[in-house]
Amino acid sequence: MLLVYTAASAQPNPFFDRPPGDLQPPLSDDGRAEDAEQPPAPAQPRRPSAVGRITADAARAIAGWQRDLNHRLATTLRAVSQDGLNPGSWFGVLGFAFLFGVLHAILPGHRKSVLVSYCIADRARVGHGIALGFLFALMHAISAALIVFVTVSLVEISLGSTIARISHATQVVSSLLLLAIGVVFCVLAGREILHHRRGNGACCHTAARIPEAHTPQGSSLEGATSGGNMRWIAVVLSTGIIPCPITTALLLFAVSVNAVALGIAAVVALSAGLGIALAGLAVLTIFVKERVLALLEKRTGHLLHAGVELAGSFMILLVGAVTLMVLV
Amino acid sequence: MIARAFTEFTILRLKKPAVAVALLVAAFASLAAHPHVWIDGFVEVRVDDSRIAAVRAHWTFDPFFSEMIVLDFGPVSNGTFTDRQIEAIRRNAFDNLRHYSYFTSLEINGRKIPVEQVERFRASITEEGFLRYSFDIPINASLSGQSTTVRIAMYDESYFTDIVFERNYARVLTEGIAPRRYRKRLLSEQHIIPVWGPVTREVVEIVFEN
Repeated sequence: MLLVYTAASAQPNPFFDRPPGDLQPPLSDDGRAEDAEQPPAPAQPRRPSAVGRITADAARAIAGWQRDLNHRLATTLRAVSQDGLNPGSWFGVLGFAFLFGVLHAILPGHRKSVLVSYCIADRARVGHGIALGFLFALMHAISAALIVFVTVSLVEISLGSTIARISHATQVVSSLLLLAIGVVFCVLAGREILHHRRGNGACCHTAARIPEAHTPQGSSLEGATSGGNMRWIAVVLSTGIIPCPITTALLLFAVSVNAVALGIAAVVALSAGLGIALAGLAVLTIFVKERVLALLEKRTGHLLHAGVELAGSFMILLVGAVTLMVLV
Repeated sequence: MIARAFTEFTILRLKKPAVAVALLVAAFASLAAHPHVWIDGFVEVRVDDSRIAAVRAHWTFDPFFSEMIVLDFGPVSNGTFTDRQIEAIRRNAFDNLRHYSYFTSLEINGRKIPVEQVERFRASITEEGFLRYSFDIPINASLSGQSTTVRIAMYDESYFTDIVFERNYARVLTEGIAPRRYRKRLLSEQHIIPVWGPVTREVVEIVFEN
């Protein structure tokens, strides 16, 4: 589900790209659809739940903080280009950029779903999670910087649409790579399930404590670990090649106001903020996963089993009672 | 027996994938994209003797996007783009929004009005140095009955762009007649966007008393 969605939702820039899966007929010069039929009646808007309202309010607040930081960052960069550098400028730019990176990562996006999925699917440790978070952020920034500086150097047509097209292409490539990685993950996971089913069915292990003899084909844990290293490097590379639009916009702005060095420093600070937020999420995911798996191993898991059996029995009783009441 | 088998299958045999799926669903809920462009907007509703002629939208962009457009389409003289620059901006950095209904949702007396074309596009630079787009959304709706309610929401369903209304979020411009009586207010509504989930959008509501 996640991998198909990822491949399908390489996010377009509305100012340059059509929406994904847009099957509407092309518009004529006067803006009317060339073979438009009577438009369907609009669906009634769905209303969010209480949790949804809280989430929406929180996202709105964070977006507002980002808006303010965006303005402050730009104002400071522009002031530097006009008045020159001073310690206050450095502090302002790096501080705003760092905070902006943290907030930007908290809001949905930046392939956090991939980070979470990987931490769930693979045998990631806390140190792994921290490294993953920072590497994700670093790759985002590096790819954005590369695209901006290559484009500025070589391309003389519209920068905005060119960068948007390059970003879109990298997202497609990334999605294909993730699909391939996901297939490999699924095959490995399927092999592990089959391995357990052929072995002792009551033998239950958490991801962190599989003894050597139970690794696939009896291979050593060291061998499995080195394969895991390759997997997470592949995940970081395939996801990190997507440039962050904010980073490209920040660098373009810095180039346009002749504050390139400060712009690069701002990107580094922004990446640090991004990395801290992503690393925190990775660590949280690993923590939650290990606790949930440990919980299911214990008596609580058996209680849950008994509870489900009881609920099932009660449902049968209820159906019988209601049916009898209808008949009599 | 069925419950036991189901429980064994899900908990004991597919324990890890089940946990993975549960956490994936939670993570999936946050898959929506975050804004990279910010717009402050306000609208002008133009009315004449018997109809609402058009809504003119004004969008003021954030500094990064503003600078990118200036970088792409040429220097600005006294805050003014040339007609040629405006045409280039319209073709290359605005027209595509027709696929997104120009980020505008329009209702008159509860009836949704599709936004398929706009007119009189202009691009300019404000005194503070930010890019501003201005464009007309033609309506031609009659003012009938005791009152006419117009609701205008501006938001990007892809969440690439975050749009909020300015403090002076709406004006009514009357042509050829005495000023009409109306009430206006800015509402904050939450609704669910397909795929992305719950979002907050601002809605300008103007009620004309006929």
